[in-house]
Amino acid sequence: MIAPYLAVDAVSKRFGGLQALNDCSFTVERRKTTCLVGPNGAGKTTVFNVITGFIPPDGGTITFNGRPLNCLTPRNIVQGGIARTFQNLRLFEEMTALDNVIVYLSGDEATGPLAALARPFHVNNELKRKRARALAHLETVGLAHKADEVPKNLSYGQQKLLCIARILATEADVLLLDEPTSGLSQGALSAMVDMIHKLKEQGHTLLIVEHNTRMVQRIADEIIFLHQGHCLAQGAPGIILKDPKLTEIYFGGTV
Amino acid sequence: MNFWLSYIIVAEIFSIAALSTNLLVGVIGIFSVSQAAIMGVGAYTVALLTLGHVLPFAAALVLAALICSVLNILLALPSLRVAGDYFVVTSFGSQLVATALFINWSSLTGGASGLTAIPSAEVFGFPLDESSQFLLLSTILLAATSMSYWLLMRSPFGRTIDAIRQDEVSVVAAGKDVLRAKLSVSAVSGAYAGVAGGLYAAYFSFIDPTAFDINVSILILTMLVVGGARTLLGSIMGPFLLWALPQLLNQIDIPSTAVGPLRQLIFGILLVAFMLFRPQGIAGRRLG
Repeated sequence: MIAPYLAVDAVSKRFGGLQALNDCSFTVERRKTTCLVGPNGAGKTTVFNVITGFIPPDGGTITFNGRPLNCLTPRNIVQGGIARTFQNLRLFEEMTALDNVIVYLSGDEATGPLAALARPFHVNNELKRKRARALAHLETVGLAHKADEVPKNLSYGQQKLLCIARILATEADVLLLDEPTSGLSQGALSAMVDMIHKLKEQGHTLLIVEHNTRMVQRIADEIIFLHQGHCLAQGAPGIILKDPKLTEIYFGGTV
Repeated sequence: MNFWLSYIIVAEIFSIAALSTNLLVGVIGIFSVSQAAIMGVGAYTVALLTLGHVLPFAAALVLAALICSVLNILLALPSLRVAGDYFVVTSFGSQLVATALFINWSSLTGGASGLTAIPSAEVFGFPLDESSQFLLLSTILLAATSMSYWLLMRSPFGRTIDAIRQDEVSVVAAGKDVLRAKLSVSAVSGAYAGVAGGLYAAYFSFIDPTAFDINVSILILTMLVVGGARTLLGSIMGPFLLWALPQLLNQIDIPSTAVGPLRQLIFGILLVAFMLFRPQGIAGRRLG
């Protein structure tokens, strides 16, 4: 049997009196788009925080490509191939779109402080290369023409696309997108859906927190349904979204 | 001592100290109020090494920069665990401890009386006794620190440290080594402060604990706020403008006992006024 690409196995996390994750288990297949759905407070963002090393789980294991992630730092996990966006974007507001992407570019070994002082010409060339790479990522998300703008001069949809350009810059294979379509206008929504399809075509594995069930139907290959920190079901959208019990929970009913 | 030469030299020394504070407070966002203490360690190191003829001035200055680098890393360590406002209190404590050591470790520091007759600077056998000669040294060192600051800030690493101040969590999500970046900046900042302190000791030939107390840390911060944080120009303009103030007060016919308090009062008013009405300073970008 082939091991799952990304596996969350019996993970639990408690914040004081709140059990955010409770024996939560699911798998994510390579090159598929998997959506995490569930009512507010189901633990979706906590799942992201636990997978990316921002919060250590109290119990359980997370494996990626057969390797355990539990003891790794967020830095190790990004370098290992899993990157994330944030629900509240967390853009660098005083930097241009291009510099926002440059900060996220992988491979900064040769451009530390010592190199900056001792090998300025090398660092200058490296910066030119980084600018070109960052611009290519902005082109991928259709923001090359906004490279010199600071985030506040971008529309909300463009800011969300900039977040995607940033995580593309990490060269990670698995992209965790936290509510990429929330708050978007109809036009921006279509652009984001196209972007998600494009990322999948490029071979990325996507795990997406999404509230909008219509959107989930458009983008998801697989759905993971979370409730009270526990994975209640995992399967194809056609099955999960038609399950009356899950629908009742999602739209405010009880188990 | 030529009045104007002296003014420029001291302003240049404080410009190097302001660059040190700029890196730490303005760029990466480690809000330290103990940079005068680091500067003091640099000053006492150079003074003791040259007074005891242990090392020539140039070697003593290099050693002071290294010691202050390490010390600044140690003092910045709490900032890795204690965020923002709380670190101000921590660094305030570091400053008080340093001042207490300067005063009470009298066998080494000369206590409250300080150290006198510190040999003047000498580089590769050339004595720099005259202000005009010392000006050349302080200008070269300000140019060197400014150049290194500029190189650092235009590099990808410069973008990373700028980003850390704006959103540290997001930089962690980028897979960057935030710890290494903070320690690196602390090291460079400490080296700058060490150089500033060493120059101060060699130029005045006399140092005492009041030259590196909390008032001086706040003075350097005021210089940065007035000049403008996060820019090279702001770190140089602030010291030149603020150091002009005591020189001007000396020219006015007021009792000498009133000069000190009046200077402090004006510095305080300037600090509050700039924070309220132009927090980005004259040439800088907004703090916080």
